[in-house]
Amino acid sequence: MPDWQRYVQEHLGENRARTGEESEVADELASHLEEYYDALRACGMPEKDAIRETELRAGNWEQLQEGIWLAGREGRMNDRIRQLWIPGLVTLILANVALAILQRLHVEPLLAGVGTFWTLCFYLPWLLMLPAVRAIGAYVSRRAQGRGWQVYLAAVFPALVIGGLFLLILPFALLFDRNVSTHIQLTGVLSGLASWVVLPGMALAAGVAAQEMRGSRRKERHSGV
Amino acid sequence: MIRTELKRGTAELAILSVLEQGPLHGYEIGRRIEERSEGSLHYTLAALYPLLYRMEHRGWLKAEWGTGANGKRRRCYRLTAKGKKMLARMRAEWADLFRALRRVAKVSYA
Repeated sequence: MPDWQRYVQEHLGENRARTGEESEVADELASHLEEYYDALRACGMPEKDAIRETELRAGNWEQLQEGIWLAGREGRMNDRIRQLWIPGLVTLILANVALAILQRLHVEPLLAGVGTFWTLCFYLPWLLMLPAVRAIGAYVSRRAQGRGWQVYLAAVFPALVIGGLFLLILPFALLFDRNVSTHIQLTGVLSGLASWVVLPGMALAAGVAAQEMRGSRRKERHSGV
Repeated sequence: MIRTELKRGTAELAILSVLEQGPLHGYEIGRRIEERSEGSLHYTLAALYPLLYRMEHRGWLKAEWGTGANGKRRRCYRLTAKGKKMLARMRAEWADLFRALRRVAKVSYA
């Protein structure tokens, strides 16, 4: 009987059969061809004809490779949307809604001087709310089978977006707003970044790290390590 | 014989329909479709498997490795709740299409 496993691997190409997933694809295709060949032989078809017929049933290998690759890409894109972008968006919206509510309630930001030049401006209740926001984002990502880095990124997404906007808007403001370009101070920019990017980012990331540690401890307890 | 272009559009409906009765592996899915269509619909590996993987990624099917009656490893596909909904939707769409074609092109179906 022909070695269908080898036949499939030869036709799919060595590179495509290296990862676990690709090797499972090869196993599946080989088992399909094997069953088809066995069925033809069981009907009394001579071996040579059965082999030829089975090879025809495989169809165009290039088309098969491309089809599998495209299906995988679609799957990876769908996964990324569910595991990263949707949870990130959830975290961003919740963080902004929380901040808007605090501002509506006329909660005053705290000003804290660090050294002579640095002044941090932050909403303490907002920073305290961020771990809850992060928990929701991480939960949404994990529910979609998000892995570690995806959960992290989704959770710190608001800080990344604010940081990105800061870096995007600042050069434009310097170029087009004379008021900004004449009065801007490096310490002011750094204070703004620290208040609106670093502090919220730390609050979000610390929450994820604490949750990860709790999770791994729980796993250790369950596995009896 | 049904042309490839026409068959391509029907494959998703055919796969979901044969899986409605219970989980099947790839070869059996192809065999049942061929059997039920009396040989009019048969798919090569190049047509069948990319479609199965795509449907799995879309959450219409769930695949699991198991061992068959002959002791060989097989990847079995089963319909998910999302797949069942999609099947109902496709059936309705195809029925609409046939009704329209019957009126326009005098196509008849059983």
